[in-house]
Amino acid sequence: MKLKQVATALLLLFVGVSVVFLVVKETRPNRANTSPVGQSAPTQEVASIMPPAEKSASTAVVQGNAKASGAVAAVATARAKNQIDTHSRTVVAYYFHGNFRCPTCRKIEALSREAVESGFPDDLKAGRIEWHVINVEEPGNEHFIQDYQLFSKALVLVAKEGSKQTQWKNLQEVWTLVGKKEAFIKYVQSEIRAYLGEA
Amino acid sequence: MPDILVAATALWLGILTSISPCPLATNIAAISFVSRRLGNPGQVFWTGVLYTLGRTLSYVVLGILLVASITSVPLVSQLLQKYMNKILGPILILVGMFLLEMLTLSFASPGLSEKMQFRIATRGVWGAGLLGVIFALSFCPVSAALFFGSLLPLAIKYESSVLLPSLYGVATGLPVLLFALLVAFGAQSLGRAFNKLTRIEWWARRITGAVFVVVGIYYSLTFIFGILT
Repeated sequence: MKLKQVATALLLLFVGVSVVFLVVKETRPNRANTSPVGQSAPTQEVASIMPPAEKSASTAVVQGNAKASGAVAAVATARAKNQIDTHSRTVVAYYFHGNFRCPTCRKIEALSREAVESGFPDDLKAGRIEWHVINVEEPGNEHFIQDYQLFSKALVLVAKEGSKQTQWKNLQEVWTLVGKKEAFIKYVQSEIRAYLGEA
Repeated sequence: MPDILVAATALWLGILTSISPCPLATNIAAISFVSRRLGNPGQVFWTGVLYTLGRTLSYVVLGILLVASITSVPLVSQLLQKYMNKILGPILILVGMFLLEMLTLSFASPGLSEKMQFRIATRGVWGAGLLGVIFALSFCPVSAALFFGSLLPLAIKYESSVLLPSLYGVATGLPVLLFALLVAFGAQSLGRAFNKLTRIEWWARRITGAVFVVVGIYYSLTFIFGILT
């Protein structure tokens, strides 16, 4: 009987601590919102595959709490210095996730990355394709939810002409193809090819 | 797309949702809850039906609200994923504690009227409906992607804010219902064979409570404290 009482007390304590922790976490002011402009904390994990010059420019802007348009502009500036044709079409593949990483989501991320790396090694090297992994729950990244109408973790392709974003697409089929590796990779690569204008 | 194929797609999306690994913890809790009255397969069946109807109700309400105002889909999806999973942990622990009789409601005292005793006895059955509503709203990435990203566009395209979400909801609950019935019938034959049905039922209730507590702790550690992500 005593053991049951101890277990009851411990579980109630755990529930109490959980509720208090949740309330404090949710009501605590967001650090990113209180920091002076330009001095906010790093805002996103950018696991990018990009040419070095572009990567540094992109990361600098991202850490400055910039929105997607700002990052795009910085990447375009860096590209202008390195490439003769600044108006060539580029494709950015974003994998968006949150703090909770489910097994299926990790598999989608890994397969998407594999599809990009194995299908377009030369385009990655030349900067015609970029790969970014972004946590939308980190301060400063919430805008991606509205920008690309995200309802869950997502693989989104963005086509750009120079610095201008021309179109984007959420590759929704990844959720139904995640159990079929070959079909998954084929699907992602064909969508990227279509966005590169190779289809 | 022919109507029958659209309906089949909605059903298939629901089954895909229920068998994906991401809602596994809540499915285990649901199977355990639905099948806990092993001695009465009829009650297991109706508890399962109400659990499924609870899920269906959530999806239909969401379908009606979101088909009417499509712009809020990402917001609703992200809010449900962010907050429902967080409050689910403490709720499951408390429900588990009630099932384990660690907590009791003060009005459940001796001398209750027959009507009240009947209400308390059937509360578990209706509770399954409530459980279905809560579990359906606790979207995980897979269920969110399949409901908001695949089912909802289909419902909008075919102007079906009730039928397609209903089919999806029924399909998300069916595997739980079938599995619970299998568990109940299996345990019943085993219990009869060894003449220990009452004992097995006693354990089933406690296992259900323990499953709720464990799943609740898992949800709290994952979604509130961010330890198991």
